[in-house]
Amino acid sequence: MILKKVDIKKEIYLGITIDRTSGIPIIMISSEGGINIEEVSRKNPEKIVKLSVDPLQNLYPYQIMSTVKKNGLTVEPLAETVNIIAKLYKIFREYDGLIAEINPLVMTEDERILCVDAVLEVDDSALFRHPELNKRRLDAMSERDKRLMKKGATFVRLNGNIGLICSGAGLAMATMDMISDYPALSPANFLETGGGITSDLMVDCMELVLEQPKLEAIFINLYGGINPIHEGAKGVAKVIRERKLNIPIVAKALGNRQEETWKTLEEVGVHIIKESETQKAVEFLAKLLGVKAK
Amino acid sequence: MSILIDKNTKVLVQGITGNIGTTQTRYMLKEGTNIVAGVTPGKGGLKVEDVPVFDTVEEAVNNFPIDVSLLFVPARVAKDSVLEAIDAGIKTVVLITEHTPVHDVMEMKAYALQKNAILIGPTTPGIITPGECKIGILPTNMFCSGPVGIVSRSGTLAYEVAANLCAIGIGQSSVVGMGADRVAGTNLVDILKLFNQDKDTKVVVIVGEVGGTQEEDAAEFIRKEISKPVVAYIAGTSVPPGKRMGHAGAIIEGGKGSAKSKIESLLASDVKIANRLYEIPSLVKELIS
Repeated sequence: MILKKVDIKKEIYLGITIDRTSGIPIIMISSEGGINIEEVSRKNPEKIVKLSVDPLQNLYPYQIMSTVKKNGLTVEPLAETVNIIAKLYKIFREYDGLIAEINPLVMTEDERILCVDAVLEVDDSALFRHPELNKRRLDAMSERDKRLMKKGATFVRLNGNIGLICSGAGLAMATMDMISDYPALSPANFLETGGGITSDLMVDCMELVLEQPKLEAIFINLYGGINPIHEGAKGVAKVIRERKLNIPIVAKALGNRQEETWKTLEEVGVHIIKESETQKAVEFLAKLLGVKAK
Repeated sequence: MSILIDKNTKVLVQGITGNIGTTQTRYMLKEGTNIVAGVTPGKGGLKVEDVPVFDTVEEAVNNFPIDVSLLFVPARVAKDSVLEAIDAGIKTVVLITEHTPVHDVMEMKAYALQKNAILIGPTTPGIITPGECKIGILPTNMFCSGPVGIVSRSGTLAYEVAANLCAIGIGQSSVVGMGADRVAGTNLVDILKLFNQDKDTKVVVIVGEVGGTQEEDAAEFIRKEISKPVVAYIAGTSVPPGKRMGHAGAIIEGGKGSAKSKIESLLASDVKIANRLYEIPSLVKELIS
């Protein structure tokens, strides 16, 4: 990209994010930093001026103006800068932004304002109301990824040797932590099924995990609350049968219809742990693979 | 005693005629939850089991006293349904729905605050007061009645912690899933406040996870305000930064939200830390006796 050289008088950082605890959009303006904003936020957080916006109200330019003035921010030309901030906020709201940033916003010697770089991160959960963005995302996905997404499942590649399938993100993270206590073991992936387990979804999950290059065993950890785990078990069993798998698979599955679930899995040689502690199941897996904890 | 719900709580189910709504309503009825009415727009006049269905929350409220509304509605109508419940005067709203746009959650949270209502969720398994009332999708056989209050960002981890406590004979006063999104309708601090006031809760267990600063805020609050012993576990010590681990809120970003930061803050407030899930029962047992 070739850009015309400009004489920079001042660089400004402009960002909008969501304060997770208060659940309120925060506009951040800093006349220091520009590209080095992360360092400013670490070393001199007071140099970032913040304006919280009531999510039930509109943001009016006078509020931005008054924040700029009160905090002694020197921005020139003032009215135009305020206008840009107001517009960025509008985009942030209309496009379901998680982060909207202009960094740097450059003020030139000849009194012009240039937006040199900008980022807008959009909330995945809101893509149903942004069909043009959703299409772009879908076009980049495989059919299986689309099916997983539709069911609310999340997969993250982690490159270790133990494939994970868990119903629940917290449970999946806790399981990863326990597996990581064994130096010889590490998660091949994070896979959370979401609350919509079906037999077909579990087939997709199994196939995805089986593609992981260093895979030595699979660990399944399910709870039947909203999830019909007895249905999920059928999908796991189907893959094991059809592919004649003999990779070790350890499963812990508790909750509604747990007995049916166990039976289906035991019939295809899955090691079932019936205790409530995931730790016990991880210890069993380690023993099965002949590895020791730190 | 318990927090938020007990055996007298009267429940409305919004989205009762949907697949999940109907299945979970059946589970709850069987387990003794007092579900008095349901709402699905366009399905007024139907019945689910013996529960009458209305088109609007207003109609339901005009026919029955209702304390809590439980929502199994699609994410795209979650905001509308939550605001409807709050506007009908319901003071506790539990939103199970996952993948609700965070901008909608911000509006719901602000609206609940304005109208003095409590919004639990979204992406929560709900609340259970074992032996009395369950509002949500938690599998009842994982819980038992007793003196421990549990608040968890994750649903399944709440189940596991409760089940592990029950296995050594320690039950729960109430278990609250605070939800796993970027923004929670009710913050960890607010739920801790309720447990602190509940005289049957002797020990509180926090089940946290990476992302956000709820646990750091809680640490500060515990130091100043909480008189009861607190045990905490944070999931995700092995989680790499920048990757979203299933939950919308479970991401370490901008240098914030690591398990390490949370554990250090909580330790500084004299909270007992369980480094692994299985350490929780023994820590709780020590604090109870």
